[in-house]
This record gives sequence, structure tokens and C-alpha cells, in this order.
Amino acid sequence: MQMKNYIKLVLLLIVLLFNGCKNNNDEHKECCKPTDLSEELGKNSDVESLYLIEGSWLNEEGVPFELEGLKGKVQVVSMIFSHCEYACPRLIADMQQIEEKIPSDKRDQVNFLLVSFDVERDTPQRLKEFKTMENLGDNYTFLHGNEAEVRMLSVLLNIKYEKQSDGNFAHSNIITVLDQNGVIRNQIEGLGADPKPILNTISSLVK
Amino acid sequence: MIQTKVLLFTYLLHSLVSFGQGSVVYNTQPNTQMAKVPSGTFQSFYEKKESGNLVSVGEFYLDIYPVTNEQFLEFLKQNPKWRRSSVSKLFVDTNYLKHWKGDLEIGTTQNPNAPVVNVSWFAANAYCRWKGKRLPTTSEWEYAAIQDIKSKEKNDTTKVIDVILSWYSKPSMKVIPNVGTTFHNMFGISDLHGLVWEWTSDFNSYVAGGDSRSSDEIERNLFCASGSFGTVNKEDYAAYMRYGFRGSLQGKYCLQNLGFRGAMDIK
Repeated sequence: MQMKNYIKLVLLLIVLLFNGCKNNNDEHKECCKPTDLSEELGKNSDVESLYLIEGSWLNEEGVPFELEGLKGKVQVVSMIFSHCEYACPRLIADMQQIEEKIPSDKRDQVNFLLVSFDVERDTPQRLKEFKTMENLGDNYTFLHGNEAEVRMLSVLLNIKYEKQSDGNFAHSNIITVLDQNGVIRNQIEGLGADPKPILNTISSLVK
Repeated sequence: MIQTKVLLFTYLLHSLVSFGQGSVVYNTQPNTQMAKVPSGTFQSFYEKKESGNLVSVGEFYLDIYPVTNEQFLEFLKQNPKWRRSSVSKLFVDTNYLKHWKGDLEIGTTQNPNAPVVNVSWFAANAYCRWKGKRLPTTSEWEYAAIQDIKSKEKNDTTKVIDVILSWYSKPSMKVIPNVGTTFHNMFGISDLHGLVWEWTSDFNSYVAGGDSRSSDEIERNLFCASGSFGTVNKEDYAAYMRYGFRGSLQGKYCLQNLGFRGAMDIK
């Protein structure tokens, strides 16, 4: 009996290891290729607005902000923290690249939303300074929330993150497009990802 | 590819601990008390060199038992928007409470005092908030879950790892037994292993398993927190399974062997 158990466990581990190796190779191949999740999302017919979640968000002006207030515009969303030295500036650069590629007469229909993981250090004031430093216009909204709210949003956006002991965050890099009602329409994962899938989604949503 | 990996992994874990057939153990209604978990440290699953591979956990309260079908039913009676027929599809997948007979009916095939399963992270969260509680963090749960078991009769201690591995390899049960039918650990907490897996508040915190990052060493160093790669005790298979399992989850998933329990800050 005991022996059988061990065999079972060992078999499982072998499968896991094998699977792990296979996946590593894939990752190599896919390292610079964006993951277009639109097909996957398309399969999910049960789409509902993210704006259903409650929260006590503050924007970078320190003004209470309801997610409902994002309705009416297409939103390009990502999660960042302002002390991030590498990934987040690149993520924001990716968003700016998306912005530039939207036809100028459509840009007023699209807003860019950046939500901070760092509920302690990223106060609204800090976010405002960061916004100025990054030279971002009025079409960029920064949000500060409490830990539970930020966690909930990350779960909805399939973004993983973990606070490190030095106060910084490990996080996945995902840009999401929400339609005018707050329903997820597309996501790209990875830094420097090809923005084409996102741009296609945006152009299908704007008038 | 990502999905295939996740599905395969999830399937493997589920098949290991899924409920095939077996007997039902009945138990008296346990009380719904919480146990005080003292502050302490435990060995991190991932390498965290800056903290000497240790994770610190402050003191907190943790439910002695997982939340049961009956307790969850009470929640649904008072919170209609979380009933199967009216819940938002943003928060649950199609398996939400699928083992129940109806919206407010557990049915006769399930034990009312068994841990509730087929509940999403969002639903577990909502239940905890309704109770004035919260889900435990992964660190809190792990810290509570690695405590060994002290026998009351004999003056000896059972290593929790042995209990876990024997659970993983046991023939599965068709109906989940009642809470309180496994063992109480050193902190007086029951059923952390042996009945169901449990949600944690930050189950989505394991970033290294994310698929956005290359396994290339140089590239890896460019990312924030590259130190979270690598594990400390490479022989702790049970921990591999728990962390792997959590990494495969999404917030709306409802699984037949995944439940939860509440936690609370000590003020």
C-alpha cells in the first residue's frame, strides 16, 4: 500500500516535471511574442462589467472616484507602482505607444487607467507627481485604493502580484481593454508586446 | 498553451484528491469558533534571500473549521444576489454550488456540515465580509497549515507532512465528510488538510509562475523581484502542490474540492 502511494506520487512528479520542461521551451519561443487573449475571452459568453465591484477609490487629485465614472469611454487599463524601476515605465511606454496609434480624431473616446499596487507609498499626491514626471495628459487616470480593492481588481484582470520585503512588487504585465460599459474585451501580456490586437479591439469599439 | 498547462495541472491535482467513493462520516455540529494563531515565522516556500528564507506572520484569528454547506446556506438566505440563480457571472463560473439541489437547498446527497465547495474566490470573500471576517493570506494559511499535530492521548507528535501525503494518496471519497473529522493541529485548528483545499486572499500572488516572463537568466534579472524564483525545500512535494494549485486558479473558478475559512485581525 505504502509502496503504491509512493509510486503514484513519483509518477505525478514525473508528469509535472515533464510538463514544466516543455513549457520552458515554449516560454523561450514566446518570450518576445505578445499573447493575444481575445480568442479565449471570446469563448466566454458570460461577460459582465467590472464596474460592478464596489470600492473607495481616490484618483491622483485625491478625489473619491467611482469606477462607474469610467463608463462611456473605452478604457486601456494596467496596474503598476510608481517606485517600479523597470517593468512599469515600460508598461506605460507601451500604453503611450497604443495611444499614439489611435487615430487622432478617435482619441477622445479612449481613456488610460493606471491602478497602483502600492497602497502605502502611492498616495494620490505621489501618483500625481508620478503622472507629471511621466508627462502623461488628462486622458490618463491614476487610482489609489485599499488593499482588498486592489486585490479584487487584480483578480478580475488576471494580474498576479506580490509585495516583496523591500516594499516593491513582483507583478505580471498585462494591458486590458474595457469597452464603454466596463466589460473586458481584450488583453495583452508581456512587456513590449505587439499592440495590434489591442488596437484592433479599440478601433472596433470607437465610433 | 497556458490554458493547457493549467488544465492539465489542475486536472492532475483534482484527480488526486477528488471524491470517488467511500463512506460518509457523521459528526456532531462543531461550533464556529476561531483559534488565535500566535505570531511567528516559517520557512518560505520560495527563496527570499533578503529575509533569510523566512516569512513572518503576525498574530491573527483563524476559523477552527472550514465554512460548511449549512453556514453558506445561511449567507445565501440573507444575501440573495449570491444565490446560484442570481449571482453575477463576473464572480463565478458555471460550477458555482453545482453539487447543491437548488438555490437554497443543499440536497440530501451532501452533508450539511461538510465544507462548502464549488465556491469562487469572490463568493468566499463576500461570505467572510458578511461575517466581519476576511480570507487568510497565503502566508497566514501556510503558517497555520504546517503546524504538526499533537496527540492528546499519547505524548507524541505527528508530522503534518505525513498526514498530507497520506491524504493525497488515499482513495477518494464520494461525499465530503463533515468538518472536524480530521485532526486539530498545535494551534487547535482542524481540517487544514484531509478534506478540501482552501482559498486564500492573495492566491494570485505567485508571479514567477506567470507566463509573461521568460525563463532566460538575463531577462529574468531585469524584472522586479527576480529573487522570488526558486524554492527553498525542494523535497516538500506537498507545498509544491499547494502553491502550484493556487497558481492555476482564477477568481471565478468553482471547484469540487476547494472551500475556504475565515480569518480576522487581532485588534
